[in-house]
Amino acid sequence: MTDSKKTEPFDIKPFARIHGLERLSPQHLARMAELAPRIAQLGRTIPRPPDKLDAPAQRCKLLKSTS
Amino acid sequence: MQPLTVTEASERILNGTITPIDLVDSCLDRIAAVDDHIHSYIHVDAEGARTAALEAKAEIDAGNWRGPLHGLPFAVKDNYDAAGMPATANSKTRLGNVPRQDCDLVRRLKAAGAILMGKLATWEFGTGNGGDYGDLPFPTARNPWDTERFPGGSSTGAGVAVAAGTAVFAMGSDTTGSVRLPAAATGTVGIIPTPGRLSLDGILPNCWSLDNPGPFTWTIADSATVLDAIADRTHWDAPAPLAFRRAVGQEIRGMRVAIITDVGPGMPEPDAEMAAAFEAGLDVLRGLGIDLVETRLPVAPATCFAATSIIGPAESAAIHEQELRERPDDLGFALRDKLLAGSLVRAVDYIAAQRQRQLVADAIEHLMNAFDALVTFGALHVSPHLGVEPEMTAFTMDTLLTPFSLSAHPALIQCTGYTDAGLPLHWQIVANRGDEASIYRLAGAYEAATPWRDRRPDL
Repeated sequence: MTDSKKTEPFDIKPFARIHGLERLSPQHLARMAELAPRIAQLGRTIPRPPDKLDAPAQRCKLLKSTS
Repeated sequence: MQPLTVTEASERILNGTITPIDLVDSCLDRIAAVDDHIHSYIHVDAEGARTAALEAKAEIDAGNWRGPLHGLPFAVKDNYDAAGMPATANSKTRLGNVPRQDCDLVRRLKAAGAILMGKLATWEFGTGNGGDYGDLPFPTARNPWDTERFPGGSSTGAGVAVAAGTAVFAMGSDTTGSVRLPAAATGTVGIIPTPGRLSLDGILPNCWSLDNPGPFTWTIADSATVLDAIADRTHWDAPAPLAFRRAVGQEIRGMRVAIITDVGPGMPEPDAEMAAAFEAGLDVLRGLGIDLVETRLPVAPATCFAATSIIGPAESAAIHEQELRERPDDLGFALRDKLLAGSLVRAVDYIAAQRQRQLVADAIEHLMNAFDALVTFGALHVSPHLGVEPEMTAFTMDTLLTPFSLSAHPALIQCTGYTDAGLPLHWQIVANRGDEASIYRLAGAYEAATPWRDRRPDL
């Protein structure tokens, strides 16, 4: 049975290149490739508020600043 | 001689039994005697401190006493800018960086008459994953209670300096625990006030939306005294002068205090000695006439960690983008790993995490509105052995610190005793935004009723 959640190997080199990370060593790129599915998975675990009016936290709102 | 607290040193300056020069010399002697073993400092400015001490003595002798910090030696984490002193943030990428201006908090402390001794050890850029990889320019600070153990990060030198007496008080910075973890590990008092209470101007950022500076001291009264001196009084809820110091010693009977003993799903149980000290501390509070109300954290710690694991790396990657692009080999493993991760975070997920933060903040604010203060665990473990995994990362990760970073509530770490092996235990006290006075009121009463401040590391 195929695991639909299994991630395909991610070619990180083009991603790094287009984002200006040309100086990363092969070891750094390998580590980045290892991290990529973990970060994607972590992002998916963040609950999405059902209400579109639930806006991101803002420092001024958290502090109830009047300034 | 036992190191003096802020309160003791200030009283002795006022009654003429000690001078700022004596205090600076005492700290320099202490540094010479023990700092090779504990590495609290990255840079010591002995000459500058002595010059400032002479000036302070002359002012005080002339009757121009500026207040309780006048003539007292302090030190700052090396992510704070101080004019003329190296500001490396323990990074190869910043060696040789010498700012021309003081950061706002150093400026405020100097204006209060305090004497800057130097810069304290830190994880690189004030960031790390709990591990120690031995790849930074300066040695890792060591816990003065047991130099084979870690003193907590990222303000690694600040707790060490105060516990060991190489500074009378110190300043650090916290994103999701970097003041509170070192305070927990070293038995010192560490507080993060309501965000905005203390200026971040001139402190190298780690995560704009969560960074919060805070003082390290030996006692609760000391902490209140320092916060009184540096709090931003242009803020919307500016405290009255000396409001925090005056809260220490006030009657606590009648305070509405919540306790959280259940650390929540997915978290390991606290160390047995940590849990026993917590329960014993609650008995002390009950004995002082407080009715404690057991409650639960309204959000799972795991949800909070997930949010900060997106927000922190993403913001750090934005802050240090140039270093990752141009000098990745000069970054330590922990920081580089975080920046690589942060470079992979989607904007959509970052925004989702910030939306989640608001919900966490609302839920905790709703809980806190029913109480004056909340007492719970900080770190669940005692100070770990240096270089021993997973002990090191467990100390940093297994905590109840992150929820209150996300919710922007003031929180203080206080010593609750010692293990049989002599390591500090602690708890965390949280209050409503803008109400640090309630923390000081409660923590001050607990401190007065317990003997934990009588003991210092034997170095």
